[in-house]
Amino acid sequence: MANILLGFSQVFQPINILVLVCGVMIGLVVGSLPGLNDSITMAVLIPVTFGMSPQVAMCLLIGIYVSACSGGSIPAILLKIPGTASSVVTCFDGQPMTQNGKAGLALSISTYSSVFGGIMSSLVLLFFSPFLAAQALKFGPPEYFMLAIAGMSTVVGMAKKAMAKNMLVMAFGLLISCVGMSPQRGYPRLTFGNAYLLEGIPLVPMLIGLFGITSILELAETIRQGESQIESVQRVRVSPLDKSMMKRLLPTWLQSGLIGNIIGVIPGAGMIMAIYMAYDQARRANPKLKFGTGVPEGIAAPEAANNAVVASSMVPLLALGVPGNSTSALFLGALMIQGLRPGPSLYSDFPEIAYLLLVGFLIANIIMLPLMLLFCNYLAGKILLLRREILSGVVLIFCVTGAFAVSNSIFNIWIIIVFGLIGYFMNKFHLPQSPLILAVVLGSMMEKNYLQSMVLSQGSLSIFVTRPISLGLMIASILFIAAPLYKNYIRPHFITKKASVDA
Amino acid sequence: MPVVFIVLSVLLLIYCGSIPKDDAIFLRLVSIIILLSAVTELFFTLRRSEATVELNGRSILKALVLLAILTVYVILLKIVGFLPMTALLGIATTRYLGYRNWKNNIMISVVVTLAAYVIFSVLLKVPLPMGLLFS
Repeated sequence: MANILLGFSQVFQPINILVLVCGVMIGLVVGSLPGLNDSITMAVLIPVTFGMSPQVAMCLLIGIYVSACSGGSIPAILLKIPGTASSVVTCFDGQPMTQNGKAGLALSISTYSSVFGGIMSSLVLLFFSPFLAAQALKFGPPEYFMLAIAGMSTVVGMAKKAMAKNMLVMAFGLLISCVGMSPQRGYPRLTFGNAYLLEGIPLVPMLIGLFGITSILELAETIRQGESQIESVQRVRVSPLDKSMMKRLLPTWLQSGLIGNIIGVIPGAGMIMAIYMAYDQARRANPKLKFGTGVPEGIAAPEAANNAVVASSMVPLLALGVPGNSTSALFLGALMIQGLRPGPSLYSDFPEIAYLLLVGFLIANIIMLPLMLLFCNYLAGKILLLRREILSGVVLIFCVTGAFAVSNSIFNIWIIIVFGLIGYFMNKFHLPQSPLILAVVLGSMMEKNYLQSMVLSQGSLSIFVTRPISLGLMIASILFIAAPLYKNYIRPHFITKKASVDA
Repeated sequence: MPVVFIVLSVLLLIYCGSIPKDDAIFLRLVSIIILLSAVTELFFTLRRSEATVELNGRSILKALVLLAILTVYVILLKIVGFLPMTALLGIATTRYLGYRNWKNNIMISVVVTLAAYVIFSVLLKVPLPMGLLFS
């Protein structure tokens, strides 16, 4: 409790709260711009945060992460162009509402739903994460090794029909984590005589490449010369939601928030899954409503769900040091630049930062309510007219400068170019990026903990099954993989066989 | 695509043989996972027997030209220096992406480059490469 108060006192330092407000504004702007999103912005800004105190840096990133997916709903509702991938579903009912002349109401519903989902999620983070971290303090090397395995198993298991693809990307990520000196004796692996690679491939330039450069490369091929751009955006008046509407949407909010939170906590599931599930559930819960024709519930469900993923995706990172999705991996990168290592020890060693993160998400969601209403009323119309080509130029300038600044090395710019290309081809072949990022982060942790376990057990693998937590994690990992494998591959196979026998 | 990964994993396994055994355990394991999942993916791709990926030559060319611009940028960065090169990079990219208003383009690229310079070099004290002319 005292620590939570410490978190509040940290967030309410004048500079921190100011930066948090700026972060929320930046998030709304980049979220509402199609082509920019929270990950790209955070990757580009992480090198800038290097010069700030850890608290200020975290406030900036929290603000962006919290508000970007809400900002994405603005063009989804007004123009039927989702500003971020997380607002794809919001178009379904948002655009019809705009056509019926109810754009103001739609934006207001989106704002309130986002804030509700976000606050629910922040509370989960605030109370669940320290509890989980306290449990994790009992972990030794075998448990951490198994935890990394379990994290990767969920990512592979969540992929449903694309398990082989996810597995492939995951292994490729592990391979990238192998580059550099081996943890055993410092033997240079896969460095090809390059001294820069001895320390391994740096995480932040890699993320800048995967997010920033990839997005610009994709823009290069989608934009056609002289294509007509958005000429004008209708002006809307967005007013606070009235009580009867709030009462009507409350069940949808609770249900979608719950879905978002559960999905957020599981590594590798992500926002896209949450919004579709929440929309689907809302449709089932309200069979009388015609979804897709401009129903308030159709906006409330995905918007509450995507914001509910935000803070809860930080639970595994802050409690266990395992990022839940690619955006929380960016927080990991930002913390590491500051010389901090997320995980259970962060609560005991740097409580001022750990609890600032927990409380920061809550406060960011609360200040988002008035800011987003103001933003929709006054700024959104002008911002949506910005040209994407110019934005890409700006992003690119910050990408190369930031990458250089991470360790004052031109080699980092090569890294962003290579990973921009890798990200571009991965998208072409529909290979997901989050398993790659997760595996790069977990790879070195896995190898190190495996070696330490082997030292503890004098080379016997039995250490992984004789310790209860490790055994439990191992069983969980097997289930994460085996259950979807059975459901998607083995059972359908049997059914078709049986059907052919019957026939 | 799976074929690329199969080749990669075979090369890796050969590489594993050339480094000390202890350092190679993890790498070898990873290579085997890549090989197995790439073979599985290849199997499914062949069984679906439909091209799921359209690789359009022209669109790839566009992306590659941008990468070439970036490569030239990195090579010349040390010689020409951060300020002129980065402003040029911004102008070239924006123009290449299809923005036709030269005046706005040049103005925005120069202003953003200066902003990046002020943030990183002046405020964060990052020694940006200034090139032969300015140093």
